[in-house]
Order: sequence, then structure tokens, then C-alpha cells
Amino acid sequence: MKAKMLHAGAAAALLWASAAGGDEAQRTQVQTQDQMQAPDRTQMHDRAHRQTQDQQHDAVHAAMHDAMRKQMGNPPASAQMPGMVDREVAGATAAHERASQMQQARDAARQRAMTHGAQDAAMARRHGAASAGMPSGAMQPGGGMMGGDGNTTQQGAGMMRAGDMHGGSGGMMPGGSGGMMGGSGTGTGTGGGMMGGSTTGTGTTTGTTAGTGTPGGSPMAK
Amino acid sequence: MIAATYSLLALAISAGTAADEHLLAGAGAFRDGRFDAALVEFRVAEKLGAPDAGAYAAAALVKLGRPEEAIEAFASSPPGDDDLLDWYRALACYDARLYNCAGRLLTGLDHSGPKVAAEVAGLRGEIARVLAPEPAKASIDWYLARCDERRAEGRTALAAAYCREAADLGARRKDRHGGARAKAELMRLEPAAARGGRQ
Repeated sequence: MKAKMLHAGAAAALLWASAAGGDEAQRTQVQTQDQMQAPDRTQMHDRAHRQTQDQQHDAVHAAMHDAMRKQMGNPPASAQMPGMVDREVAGATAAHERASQMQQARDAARQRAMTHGAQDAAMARRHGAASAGMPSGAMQPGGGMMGGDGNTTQQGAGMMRAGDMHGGSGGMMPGGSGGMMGGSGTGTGTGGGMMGGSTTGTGTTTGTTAGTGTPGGSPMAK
Repeated sequence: MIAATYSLLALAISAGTAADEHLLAGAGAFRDGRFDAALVEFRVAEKLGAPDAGAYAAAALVKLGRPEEAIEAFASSPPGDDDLLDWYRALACYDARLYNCAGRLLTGLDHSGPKVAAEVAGLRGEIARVLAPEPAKASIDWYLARCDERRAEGRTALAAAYCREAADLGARRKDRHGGARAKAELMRLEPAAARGGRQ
């Protein structure tokens, strides 16, 4: 009887224990479900957000690609090696400097020619005084052989000097020839000389007539 | 804890949306040829954390004729991810007269779409023409001088690009003019350049 009672007690205890364990397990399961629900919701949100972001990003990316493709058509400037360009520029600068130096040399030569011309004129004046009224031409810069224009500075200085020299002799010639050709009256001769630039020369020839030279015009026309 | 996560998420969403709005506005301006406006939008998006904004800003800089700044802006993202961006990256190099750099980038665009391929072919022809003769010493010296100048300004990525070009050009000469100096400079610059952009 006692043994029967013990068995019954043990069975009841087991039953209770299993029931209690099941309840606890159930409770734990519910608790776990509760715990799981919050992160799931976060993950779902996160996933949805990521999807939205990806879609937005794709839209932005597509828009930018479309824009970049549309704007890629403009041709770039032609390629040029940097050092080479600089060398060309340096070459051009050197050429400019050379041209400038040549211009200065020409100007200096022109000045020298003017001085020499004045000396020639002075010498001519002295000779003129010595040879009975030989006139001297006033010294004026001539236009030179190539130009015919007294203002140009581009002509050779040597030519200028020749012009000056002939200008001096031009002063001498008109009077002489005018006097010779005129015969008994007043003779008029055109002055200027071959190289142009000379001006009025007035002189008396052999004591009979006065010759008047008119200013020289275009150098080559004479 | 959960509330904090949500607020962080909301903040990220709003920042991301704002950045995307600026990127979209920039893309529209770029498309219309208003590159200065596009640049401003991309710069704002970059500050808001948009990952591609730096490269887009670089593309706008290329169109604005500021290739050196573009090279620096592109330095933050490696090439090879996007053909179109690589095309603009190549243009930046080309406009900065970094022809070897441009040529290398164009090599990777061989299998692009027909429009890109046609543009690539044109630019490659131009690069081949300018690189055909043996590089002059004066050209290499120019790149080395640029490298020095940019390094002195603290623009290491750009300085490295110029020195790399000098090294590439020097290697194409029999006397290897400037090659050793360019490589020595690169050794000094590359680690800093790898860290990125201006310093």
C-alpha cells in the first residue's frame, strides 16, 4: 500500500514537473518571439530603406550618366607637347628681338649718314665758295632709292646717305645747267639730283645768267 | 534602444534623400550645360556624404576647363568602375597635357558603347600623333618643373601625375632624360598621393 502511495506521488510530481517545464518552455518561446519581433521590424525597415536608397541612387546614377553621355560630344583641343610650344614662343621672341636690333642698327646708320651728309655739304659749300659762286644745296634727307617717300624709316641707311650726297650735288647742278641752257635769259633748271631729296640750288654760272633750281620731287622721276 | 535606432535611421534617410536631391539637381544642370551650377550641387551632395558626388564634381570641373582640379577630385575614387567617368578622367589628363595618363585610361574603354568608342578613337589618334616623335628634353623638363611646383603647393596627387608623365616620356628617349629624377620624386610623392588629393 505504501509502495502504491509512493508511486502515485512520484507520478504526480513528474506530471507537475513536466507541466511546469512545458509552461516555462512555452513562456520562453513566447518571450523569444517577442524578442525576435523588434529586430525583425528594424531589419525590414532597413531593407526597405536600402531598397529605396538603391532605387534613388540608381535614378541619380542614370540621370548623371545620361547627362555625361549627352555632354561628351564636344571635341577637345588638339594635343601639343608643352616644351615644344614654349620653344616656339621663345623662337618668336628671339626673332622679334633680332628684328628690333636690326632696326636700331639701321637708325644708327641713318644718323651717321646724316652727319656725313652734313659734312659733305659743308665741304661742297667750301668748294663752291672757292670756285666762283658754285652754289651749295641745302641738305635735306632724301627718300632713298627704293622709297620715294622721305618719311619712311625702312629704307637702307646707305641709300639715305647717297640721297643726301646727291641732294648736295643737286643743288650744284640745277644752277649750272639752268645757266647753261638758258643762254641769255634766266634759266630754270630742275634740281634734285638722281637720288632725290635735294632742294633749291641757286647759283650763278660764268657770270652771265642766274639759274634757279626748283625743288626735287620724286627721286626716280628725274 | 529601438527608439535610438529609428532616429538614426531617419537621420540617415533624410541625409541620403537630401544628398540625392542635390545629385539630381546637379545632373540636370550638367545635362543643360550649366556646369558651374552642377559643380555647386555636387559639392553640397559630397558634404552630405553622397559617395559618387566627388567624381561627378570632377566631371563638372573637366567641362569647366579646370583639369588640374578635376584630377585632384578624381583622385579620391579609383578608375575602372565606370566607363563614362573614366572617359572624363581621361579628358582631365588630356587637358592637363598628361597624354600618357590619358592614353592609359582610354585603353580600359575599348569595349565601351559605340558613342564612347568613337570618342575614344578620336582622342587616341590625337594622343598617338603628339607622342609619335621622341619626346624633347624641353618637354620632359616642363613636366618635372610642374611636378616641383605642384609639390611645393602641397598638391601631391597632381605633382605625382606630372612626375609620372615625365618618367613615361623619359623612358621613350635613348638617354632616358629626366627619368631618374622623375622616379625619385615619385617615390617621395606616391605614398602621400595614395592617401589622396591635396595635403
